[in-house]
Amino acid sequence: MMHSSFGIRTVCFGVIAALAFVTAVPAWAQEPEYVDPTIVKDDKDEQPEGVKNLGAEQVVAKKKWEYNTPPIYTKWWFWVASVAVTAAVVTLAVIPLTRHARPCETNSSNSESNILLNCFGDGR
Amino acid sequence: MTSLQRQACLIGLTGALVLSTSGCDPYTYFNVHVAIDPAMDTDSQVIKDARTRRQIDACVVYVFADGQQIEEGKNLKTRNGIAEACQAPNTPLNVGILDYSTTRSSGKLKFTVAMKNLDSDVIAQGSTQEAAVNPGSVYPGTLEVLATPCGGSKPACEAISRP
Repeated sequence: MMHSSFGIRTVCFGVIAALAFVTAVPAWAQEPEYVDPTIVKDDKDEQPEGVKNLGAEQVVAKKKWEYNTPPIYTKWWFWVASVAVTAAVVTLAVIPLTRHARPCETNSSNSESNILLNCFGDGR
Repeated sequence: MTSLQRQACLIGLTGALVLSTSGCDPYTYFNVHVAIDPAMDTDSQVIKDARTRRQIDACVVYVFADGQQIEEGKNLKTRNGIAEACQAPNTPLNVGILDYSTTRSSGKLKFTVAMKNLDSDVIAQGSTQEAAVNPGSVYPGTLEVLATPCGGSKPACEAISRP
């Protein structure tokens, strides 16, 4: 019966998720806020960049990245961390299902000359 | 993310992996000692009790969690599974010790041993105290079951399902 190991698995997963989240948050925190260049704010009178020289031939410079910093998924450590978290979660989910309980004692000398009876229960 | 943060992240994940594989043992273990009230010794002057003990032909253990039966009755046998622990007419006063494991994360367990005659009527019974589940550990000490005859001036045996 594995019904009650769910709580333990949840706690273990929570610890791992919290560790991963706390260490990874600074990466997202550095991402600049995206500003649509065609939107004119109320406090500005100038034409937006997107409507300047509409009749002229447009020379669109290809940007490698839309942001000042490349997306997080281009970082090698993002994928390493993702694989590690996935492996941890899978491991935590599988281990309680495959882990057996401790072996049954067979030497009666450790039991004060009592006769050893049934050894049963979950994981046995 | 600086290289220092990256290293901290990797170390944290590695640590979590190691913890997850080595710790978090989901089992709680219980050792239960089963015995018969010495008053039921075959040399007892209480002839009725002595006769009752001679009639014991099977011992069955039941496990309860917070009042609910969680295991079907199991006949007590020696650990090698060859011999019955209780057999008429010579069931020992010191029946033996059994080992139980559970993956429950909380609650309290109680073990009840019913001793039956050839007709499968419960003629003696005993229970442990309630023992708290604590995953990753062995319940401290040994839980004691002291079986006493049913009926008479002693409390009636609890109703338990037949295996």
